[in-house]
Amino acid sequence: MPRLPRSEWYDLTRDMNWDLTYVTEDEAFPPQLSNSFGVPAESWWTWDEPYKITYSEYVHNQAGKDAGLFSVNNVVSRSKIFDNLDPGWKAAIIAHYGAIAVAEYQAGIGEARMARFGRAAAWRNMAMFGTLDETRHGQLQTYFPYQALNKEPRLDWAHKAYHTNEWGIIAARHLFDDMFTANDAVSMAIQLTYTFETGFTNLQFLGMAADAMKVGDIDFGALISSIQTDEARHAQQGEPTIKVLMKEGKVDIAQNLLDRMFWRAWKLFSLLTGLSMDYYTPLEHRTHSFKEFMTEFITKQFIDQFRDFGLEKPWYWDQLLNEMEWLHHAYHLGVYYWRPTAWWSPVAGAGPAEREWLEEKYPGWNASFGKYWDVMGENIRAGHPELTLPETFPMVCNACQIPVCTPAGYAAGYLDSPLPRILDFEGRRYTFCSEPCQWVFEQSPDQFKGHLSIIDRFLGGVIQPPTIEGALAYMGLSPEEMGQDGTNYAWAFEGHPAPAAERKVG
Amino acid sequence: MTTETGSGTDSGRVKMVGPVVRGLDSNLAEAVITAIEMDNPDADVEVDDQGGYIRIGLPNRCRMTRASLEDALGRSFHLHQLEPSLAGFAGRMKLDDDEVVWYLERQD
Repeated sequence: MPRLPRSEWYDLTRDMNWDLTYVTEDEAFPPQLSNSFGVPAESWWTWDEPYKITYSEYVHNQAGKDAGLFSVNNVVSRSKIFDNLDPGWKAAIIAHYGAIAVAEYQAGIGEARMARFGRAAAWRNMAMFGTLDETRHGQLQTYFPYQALNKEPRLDWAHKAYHTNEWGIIAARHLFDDMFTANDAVSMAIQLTYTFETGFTNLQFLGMAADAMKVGDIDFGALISSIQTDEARHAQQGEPTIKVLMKEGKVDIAQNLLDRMFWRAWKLFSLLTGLSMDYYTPLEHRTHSFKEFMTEFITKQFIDQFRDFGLEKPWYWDQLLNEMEWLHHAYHLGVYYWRPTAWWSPVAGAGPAEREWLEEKYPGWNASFGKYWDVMGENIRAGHPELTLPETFPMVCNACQIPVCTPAGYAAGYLDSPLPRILDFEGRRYTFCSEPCQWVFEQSPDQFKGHLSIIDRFLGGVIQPPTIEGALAYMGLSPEEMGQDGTNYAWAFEGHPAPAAERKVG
Repeated sequence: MTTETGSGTDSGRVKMVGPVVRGLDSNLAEAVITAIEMDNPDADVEVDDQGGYIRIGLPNRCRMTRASLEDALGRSFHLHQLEPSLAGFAGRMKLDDDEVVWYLERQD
C-alpha cells in the first residue's frame, strides 16, 4: 500500500494528457466520436471528478461487492423463493431483465468510447472503471435469470430480447442507441452518465430494490442495489463535463443535451418502472407509488442537483408533471390489452383493493382509468376473455417508439385533444405522442428520419403476413413466450365470489 | 397530492442532501447515521428506511469525517470503502482522505 495519503499522489498518477504533434486534434478525437462543442483541449484538462478512486481501490471494492452478492445468491438460488414469488412480481423482474441486461453491455460500449475519446485523462480513467462496471452488470443480469430458466422460460429474454424486434425493445434500442451506442463521448457524459444514471436509474434500481426487499426477493434486491453502487460512482462523469461546458459559456448546449434525454428517459421509465411499481408489485408490498418515487428521486433529488450546476428545469416541466398523473396508467392498459406482444405475463392489478389504492394515490383513477377495467372484467366474467385481446395495432410515436396514448389522456381529462401530433418532413409523415417527443425529433431530424417504427414496418409491408400472427412472429414471440394474463384472470373475479372458487390461479 | 409550480423556483422547499445506503448493509448505515450526527451537531438528521435503501439527509450540507465513522464502527475504515454500500446520494459529493461532504450551493 502507498505510504503517502492518496490525495498527494492521485492527480499526478491520473493526469496523462498529451499535446498532439503528429496528428491533428480532429484526427485523435473525431467530432462524431467526441464533440468538443468548441471547447479547447486545455480547458477540458481541468476536468476533475468529484468521486475519486484508484485502480487498486476499484478492484478491491468490486471484488467485495461480488463476494457479498454471490453469498446471497448462493443461498437463495437453492431455495424456493422464485417458485413462491407473486405472479405480478415475476412480471416485473422478467420485464426488467429483458429491458436491461443486454443494454448494460451496450452501455459498456458507451463507457469504452468515453475511456478512449473522453477529453481529459481523468475522465478516461473514470470511464475505464465504468466500462468494467457495465460489463459486470451485463454479466450479472444475464446470469441471475439464467439460474431460474428451468422454472420460467421467459427469463431467456434477458439474453434474447435485444436480438428481436419486439416493440418494447425497438423503443428501448432507439433510446439507448441515441443515448450511448451511437452517441459521442461528450454528449454521452451528460445524457448517459448524468441524465440517465444520476437521475432515472435510481427509480428502477433503488425504487424496485425497496419493493424487492418487501416482497422477499432478496436476490433481486441485492443485485440491483449492488449495481446502483457502481452507477453512483461512474455517473459522476457528468458533473465535471457540465462544469467545463458551463465555464466556457456553453450552458445552452448542456441544457439542450439534458432536456432531450430527460424526456426520452421519462418515457421509457414510465413504461418499465411505472407498470412495475403501481400494478405488478403486490399491493401489500408496495412502498410508494411510482409518482411518489418520481417525486423523491427526480423532481426533488435530481432537479436539486442539476439546478445547482446552473441548469434549469426543462421547458416542458408542466407537461412532465401532467404525464406523471396519467401516462403509465394508459401504458398499463395498452400492455395488458396487447399482452401477447410482451415477453412477460402482465397482471391486471385491478382488483378491488388495488383500485382503492390507485384511487388514493391518483385521485380520479376509478372514474378515468377504472372504467376500462370494468369492461374487461365484465367480459372475462361473461366467459369472453378473447374480447380483452387485440385485433389490430395502435399508432406508435416516431420519437419514443411507444404507442400513442393521447386518447386515454384526453378521456381522463389531462389533455385538450385526443389527437397525436403530425409532422410532414421531407415527404414523409411522422406521428408523435407529445410536444416534447416532436421537439426531440426536430432537434436532430437527420439522425431519426430514416427509422421505421414497428407500425411503419407493418403498414409498409416489412412485416409479412400483415396480421397479428405475422407481427408476433416478427417480434420473435413464440406462443409459449407470449404474455398471458399473469393470474389467469383471477383479478376479474375478486369481489365476485361464486365463479372465483372454480378458478385455478397460476 | 404533491403540488409544485410548473416553472421558476422551489424556494419554499428545504433541499435535503446526504447518502442513500443499501438496505443490505444496515450495520454500516447505523454507523453512518451515528457519524453524521456527531459531525453535524446542529442539524436534525432525517433517516428514511425503505428496506432496500436507507436515505440519510440534512438540509443543504452534510459532512461526515473518517474519524467519526471509525469511532462509530470501532475499526479502521477508508472512506473509499463506502462505495459498496453507497447506492446513491442527494446533492453533490466531495470526497477526500479525511471527510466526505454532500452539499448544494444554489440558494433559490
